[in-house]
Amino acid sequence: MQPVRHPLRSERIWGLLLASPALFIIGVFSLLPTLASFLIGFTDWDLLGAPKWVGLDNYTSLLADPVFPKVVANTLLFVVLYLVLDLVLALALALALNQKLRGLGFFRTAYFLPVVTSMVAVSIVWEWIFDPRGGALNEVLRWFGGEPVHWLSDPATALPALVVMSVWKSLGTNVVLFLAGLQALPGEVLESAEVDGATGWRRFWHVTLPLLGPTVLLVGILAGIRAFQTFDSVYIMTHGGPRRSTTVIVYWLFQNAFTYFKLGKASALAYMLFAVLAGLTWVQWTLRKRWVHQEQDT
Amino acid sequence: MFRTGWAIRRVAGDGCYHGLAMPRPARSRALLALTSLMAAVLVACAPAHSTALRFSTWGSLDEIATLRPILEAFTRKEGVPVELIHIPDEYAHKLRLMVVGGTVPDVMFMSNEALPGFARKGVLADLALRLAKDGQLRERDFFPQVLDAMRWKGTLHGLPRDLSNLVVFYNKDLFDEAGVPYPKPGWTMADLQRIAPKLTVPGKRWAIGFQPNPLIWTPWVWSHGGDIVDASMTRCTLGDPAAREGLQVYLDLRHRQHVAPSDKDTGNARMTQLFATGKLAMFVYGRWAVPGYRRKIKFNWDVTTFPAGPAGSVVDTDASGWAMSARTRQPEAAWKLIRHLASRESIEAFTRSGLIVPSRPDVAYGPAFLSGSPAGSRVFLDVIAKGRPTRVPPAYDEITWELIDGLGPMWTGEESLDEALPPVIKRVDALLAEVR
Repeated sequence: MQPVRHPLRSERIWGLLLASPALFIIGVFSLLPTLASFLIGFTDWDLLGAPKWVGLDNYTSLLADPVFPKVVANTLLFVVLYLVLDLVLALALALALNQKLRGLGFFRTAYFLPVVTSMVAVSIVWEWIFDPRGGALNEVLRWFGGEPVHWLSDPATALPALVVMSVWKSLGTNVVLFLAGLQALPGEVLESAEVDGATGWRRFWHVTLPLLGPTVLLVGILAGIRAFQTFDSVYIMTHGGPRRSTTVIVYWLFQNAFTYFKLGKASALAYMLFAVLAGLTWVQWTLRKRWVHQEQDT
Repeated sequence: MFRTGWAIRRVAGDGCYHGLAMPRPARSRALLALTSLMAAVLVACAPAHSTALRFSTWGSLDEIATLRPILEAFTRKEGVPVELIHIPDEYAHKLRLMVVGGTVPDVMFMSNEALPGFARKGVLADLALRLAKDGQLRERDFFPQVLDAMRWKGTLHGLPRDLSNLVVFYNKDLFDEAGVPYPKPGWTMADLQRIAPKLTVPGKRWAIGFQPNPLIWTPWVWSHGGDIVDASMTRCTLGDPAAREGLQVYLDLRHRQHVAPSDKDTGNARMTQLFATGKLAMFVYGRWAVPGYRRKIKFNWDVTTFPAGPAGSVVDTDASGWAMSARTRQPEAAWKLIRHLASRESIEAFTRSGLIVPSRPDVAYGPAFLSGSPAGSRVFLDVIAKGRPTRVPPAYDEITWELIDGLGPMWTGEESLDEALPPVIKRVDALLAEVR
């Protein structure tokens, strides 16, 4: 039997104590606001004066708000377009960069450069690219005899234009993740596939891609969350317009909180977004068994 | 996730903290150091108490450069230091967060559009009594309409620095070239429609700018006798005949007469740039464009009144000025600062940059405002009598967004007035009905 020890000799106490600065910061700046915003979601509050308890009013009025379905549709469209474009392009680029090419280091750096550039700078450059008069994109179109397109002021093209820019911006991260995944693939499996006569497209489709499953899952979840959280490009380039076509959930949340000062409605919206994200992550996680073939039991 | 946590505990149980297995006194010292560090962090988070007046404002760096010497003069005179809080963007948003955080500035620069939101919640002090009792400032030092713009439900919540209204800027050289006489104060919309085609060279140069911004198109509605919301701010009145007429006249400049540029013509260029580069003969805008135009514009230019419609030439008389926190611990010092900022000397300094139409007639009718281009600066003062402040219902910002976004397709010509208006009116009515 062990003798009774002084509390300071207990490693559990020491562990907690050493973690306390981090716990303190997480608690004050992350957990408390999270809890507070959940409660604010049941109030009517414009930052000035005391919040008024209104129960589920914010949730019911959100569901009745004609803007709400539009914002949800915009967000889903953004996420789907972004995911498809991002995953396909990132994987294609990673496969290309996984070859033994000349100047590989240059290309790997080049694709990563937008990731470390601030979204504000990127947005300003892309505003010029999308400028209907003399912008780079329309100039290229003109060489091929195309009519100028009002990329950011046409409700039909504004959201896809933002998706293209966002994919360009974040592509580097996913390329790096895919590259890491590709380089971790067991060489012997690929080799034996080749010996068995599976080359090129067939080898990719039947061997490489299934083996890459865990990476695809990871990249998919991360990219999906990022797409759901899109805000800065909308804030800088379109302000949610034209005709609400680029008002995505987080931008609308910001507008409600800090332009219209409806903190309750904004907080309710945040929790709805959280529920959707948690749900989608759960679905992805559950479905992974179906298509992630090789997952180490961790 | 749970496994990771369990793993750490197991590792800890295995005694992997050997590096930290210090003798006991050392441990206590470490603990002491840790707690004092945390205490230091907590103290650093608490707001520092000082006697400095906290004063928030927005504005360009040029404006701040004008402001600093004025604040320094105040500190020299009254012995009270001023902490300047410069918030160039998202002003109302940051100010509200300061109110919540209990760090509301003692003195706040504020526009008449933002003022009701703060006044309604009791954030701003009532200044009427202080002004009435003041030995240096009097109510009649200010234009009455401008002082009114700083009132909410009859209570005075700020002393105005400036008023903002709209006039027509025009390029004299383009008028000379076209052989058209300059527009004189008192001219009408019929005059505009008559001369506009002569000032237009299709695809190259246009008679008048086109801005799909409620601030700019509101005078077209008002000058026809219409309005955006009714006086009780319970109903959107854009569908009433007079308002529709005003909107239609403005729309026709672009889509029927083709004397105003379309989006296709301008791309992302702003109207103020088009005017500065000689592509617009006329352009409706405010005084704040003057400092830039004085520096940049090479051609001859001047200003005149907004063209009169059936209800006259009616533009806004909005204002911004200095308000005092209702919770300030130094009300006397805060009032002295406001009084100093609103003094003749300070307002003159602000006016000399060309940026503002001063709130004080003694400055407005003096050389600080009237000398220098534009020669016709008096126009800014002559329109005050008929001007009116913008109506600010509680959901003002959201309504403005709906007006900009909802009417967008109408201004581009994709939708007619009849198609675009009803959904916008419905939405604005719903926002007006929201009881806060």
